[in-house]
Amino acid sequence: MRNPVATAIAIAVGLTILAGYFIPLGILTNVRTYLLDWAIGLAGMASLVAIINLLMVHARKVRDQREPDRYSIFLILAFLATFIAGIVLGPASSVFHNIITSIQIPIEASLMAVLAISLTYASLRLFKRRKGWMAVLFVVSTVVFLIIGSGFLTFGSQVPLLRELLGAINMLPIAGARGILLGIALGGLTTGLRILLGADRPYSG
Amino acid sequence: MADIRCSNCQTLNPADATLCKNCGQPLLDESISWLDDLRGGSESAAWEETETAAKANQEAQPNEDIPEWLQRIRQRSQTEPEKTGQVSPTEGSTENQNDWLSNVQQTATDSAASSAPSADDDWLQSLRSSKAPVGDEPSGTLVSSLDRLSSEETQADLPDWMANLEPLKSGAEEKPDELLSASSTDWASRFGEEEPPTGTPGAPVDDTQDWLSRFSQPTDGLNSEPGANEDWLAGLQAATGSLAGANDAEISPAGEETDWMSSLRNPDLPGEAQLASLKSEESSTGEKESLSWESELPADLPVQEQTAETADWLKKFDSDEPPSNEDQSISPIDSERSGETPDWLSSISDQETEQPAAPVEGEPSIEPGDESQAVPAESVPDWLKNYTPDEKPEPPVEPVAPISEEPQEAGFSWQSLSIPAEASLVNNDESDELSPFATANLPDWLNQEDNGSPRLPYDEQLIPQPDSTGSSGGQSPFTGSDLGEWLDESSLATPAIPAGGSQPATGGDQPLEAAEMPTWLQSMRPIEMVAPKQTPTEEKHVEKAGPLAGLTGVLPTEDLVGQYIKPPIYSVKLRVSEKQRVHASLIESLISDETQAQLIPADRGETPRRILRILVAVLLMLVIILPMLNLLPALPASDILPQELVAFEQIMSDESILAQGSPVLLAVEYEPGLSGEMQTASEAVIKQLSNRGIRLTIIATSPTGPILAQSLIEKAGYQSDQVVNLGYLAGGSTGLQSFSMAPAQAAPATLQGALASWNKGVLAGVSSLKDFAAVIVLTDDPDKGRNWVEQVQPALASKPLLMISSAQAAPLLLPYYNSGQVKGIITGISGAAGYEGLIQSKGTATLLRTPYQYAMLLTALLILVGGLVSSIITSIARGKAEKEA
Repeated sequence: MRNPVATAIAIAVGLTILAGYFIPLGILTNVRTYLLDWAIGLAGMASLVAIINLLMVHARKVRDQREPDRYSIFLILAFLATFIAGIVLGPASSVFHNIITSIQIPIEASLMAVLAISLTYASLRLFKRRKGWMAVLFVVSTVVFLIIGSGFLTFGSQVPLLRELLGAINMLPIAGARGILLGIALGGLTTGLRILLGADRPYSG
Repeated sequence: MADIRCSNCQTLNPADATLCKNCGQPLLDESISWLDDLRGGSESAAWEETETAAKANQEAQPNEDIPEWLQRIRQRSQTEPEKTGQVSPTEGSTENQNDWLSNVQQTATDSAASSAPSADDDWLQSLRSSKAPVGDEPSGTLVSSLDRLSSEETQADLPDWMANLEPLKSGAEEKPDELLSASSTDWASRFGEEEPPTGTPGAPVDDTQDWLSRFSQPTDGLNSEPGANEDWLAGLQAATGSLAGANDAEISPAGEETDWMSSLRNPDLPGEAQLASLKSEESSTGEKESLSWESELPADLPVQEQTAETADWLKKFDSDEPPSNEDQSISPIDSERSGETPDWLSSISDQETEQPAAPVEGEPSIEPGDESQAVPAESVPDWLKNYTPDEKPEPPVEPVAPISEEPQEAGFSWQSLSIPAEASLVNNDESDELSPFATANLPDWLNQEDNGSPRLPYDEQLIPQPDSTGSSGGQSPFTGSDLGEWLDESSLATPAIPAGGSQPATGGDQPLEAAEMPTWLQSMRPIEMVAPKQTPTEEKHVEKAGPLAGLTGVLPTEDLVGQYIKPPIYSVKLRVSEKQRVHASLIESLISDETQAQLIPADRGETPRRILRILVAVLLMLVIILPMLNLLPALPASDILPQELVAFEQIMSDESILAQGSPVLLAVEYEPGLSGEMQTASEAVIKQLSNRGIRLTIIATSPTGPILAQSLIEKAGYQSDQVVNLGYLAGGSTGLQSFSMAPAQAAPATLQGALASWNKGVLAGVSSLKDFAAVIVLTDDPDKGRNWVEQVQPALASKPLLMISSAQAAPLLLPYYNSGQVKGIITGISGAAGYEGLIQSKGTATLLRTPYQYAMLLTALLILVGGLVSSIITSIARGKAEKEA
């Protein structure tokens, strides 16, 4: 074992948090609360470290002798402007809010619109690039759920058979999503057990 | 020069003719080459060939070179020692005696006269000379010698023929007159003449019989060099011993075994008649100890039968025979025609193997170990017994008449063995000397007679010495290219033919017959005989400098060129099995596919695709804008709303749950990119809460969430004193866990940076999450919605958790509604429109529902049409490609 102390600490913290779920003891709750607060503080510091790392990476790209990345300059400038505005004006400032709502929302909304057009165009040429049953299934499911999601078949609720059919079709994504969630839950449980048992030590580097 | 009688038509042809003038049959006999040598051994060419062959076969083992036919003879002679014939050798007349026996007498006389070394020694002369040291014997007769020998040897160890010799001797003593008459035969007389140490000097001697001189050389007291010895007879003896126990069934027919023997029987031999008379006397006396081979002699066998039994090459001998008496001689050789080995030969073989020659005591004249002397009297043939020591040498037998004068029915004579007429004219004995001794199957009793050195093997005794009385120049007539190695070995030791012209006369003008070996003999030849051998070059090398200058073959030289052997070429080709080859080809094909440049389809250009993209964008925008401009009719709203939507509305409309002024926790968990959908979907709910005076507490785990929530509240017209924005909650799910446990500690400050007044103001009465009347989560991310369900919902107790999600996150959140963890969900614009329909309000969602529906339908239509068009175009292109192919 490379770092037994870290592993022991990780296992002890995990068992304490887990015990706090099942054992309603005040000390365990307090301990869990303190540990979670430390984790939140560490997560904030990790976000700050990530922001600093992001600035350094883009700074290196700007200073690159062979292929300097000119667009990284805009990122760095936007960050500095937002950071300075946030510190100076504060996050609750209406000016600062307008920066978010007037710049970020239209940009991201535009990207979503371009994505919609690109996906539609790609769907047109789907059978040119890829052929097979999976492509057919993808196209059929996409078309069906587009139609159902559009509400175009709301009149079908009047028809008993069609209503039952639409209800069954609507249950298909729910069934698939539940399977996905179950898989995620089992995966999370397994990962937690492995960490508690010391099998996985992502903290050891 | 004798003519040649055709073996086919019996027509006499000139001696130099190669083809029969009558039938065209080749006159050259294709018989065994050793007989060719026998006949034409005097020719220098033949001798040269013999030497060459002997050198080539020098490495061969003599014991292994014994012809199989001779081995069979020995075997048969051993297995049938007691077999006797019906005809006694004495039954014939004296004229039927063999010439070879008479030649013995003549040669003994002649060679005695010319005891000085000369090149004219013949084999009988050598035989005589072999007895020269034994000249101390009183009579010098062979019979007496044998008698003495028989007295020394035990009777059991003696061969039959020697045993038969004893009564013969006794009979000769009793009837000297008859013996004298019998000695008139050539062969007997020669035996008698052999005894005197001296003979007629200057008697013509045929060099072709020098091979027989080897028999006498060891007994002559001459130096017998072991290195120069030839063991052709030793090999014969060894083979006799080794093959003594061979099966009789392996004995080949008489025609194969004793061809030479059968050829030797010739009634024309001058001494055969006398020998026959001797045999007749023996038979008349009633002696039953006659030689078995004598009894087997088919005396009455006509010539026709003999010819039929003998091989072709022997037929030719018969045709060349001089005329002789009609009564076929009953000679010892005639017994060989029957195909059975005579006893005298078998007994000799046995004696050779079992008992080496023992020295004879009291016989100073006889060399110790002379097996001929050790032969008991019982083994002496009758015809030899009749030989008396008193008999005097007979004059040389008259030359045999020319073959041309001989009738066809003439019997065989030794002159027929291709003895040249010239040689026969010089000395009749020379022609007679071509006796059966001249063959490889020479009876050993003659050999034993000459063998006086017991310590030396037979081959050493029989090998002629190069310098022995000048008679060593003769070579064995057996030496020939076609002889077996056991014969060639003897020729190896034969010294070169002296320049004095002592080579056997061949007639000169008569060409040698083709030296061809019969196929049956070729098949028996060892591989060493057939394989080409490199002639050693040491012997040809002559020293040119130094003290050894002029000497040949003194120092071994190495012919580097000859020793150069081309180095073997080892193939580097890898042995690959068929399966491996298939695998290799498969890999090769795979690699070749990778290395080959892929054919890139021709790019039709960016313009069509760009136009298509613009077209799609224009269509979508038109579909979205036109309904908003009421240029397109609005699609009817659905009468059936989702259950989660209805449940959401029921909770929102339930006054017991969301009472007037109750605190509600609003979590804004969406990104700015989806703020348009989320604001539209939540607009009606926010207005409803605002209308009902709900105190709203805002929190977000996303950094932009508090600002988007602030925008959303302002857009909904929410009063700021009823809203508290706790800002960003760090830590993700951990922050939510902490927030669910102790909200005041997890979110102690507001977005404006002030401390959150828990239990005061907007948060009055709220110290935990369960103090909120409801928790409403606005999320476009199913993971964030799941975190709220997993981390916060348990802390809410019975308070409802409601969700407003985007259309893409709804499917993953619906299960939580079905599980009861989420009490109601509004999904996207369509859900918000439905919710507006439920609360009977017209908001942005109702306005955007028709363009939204048209955009969705258009997208579905474009995908379908695009897919069909693409399929059709691809099918057409494929059809064209197949047609072109």
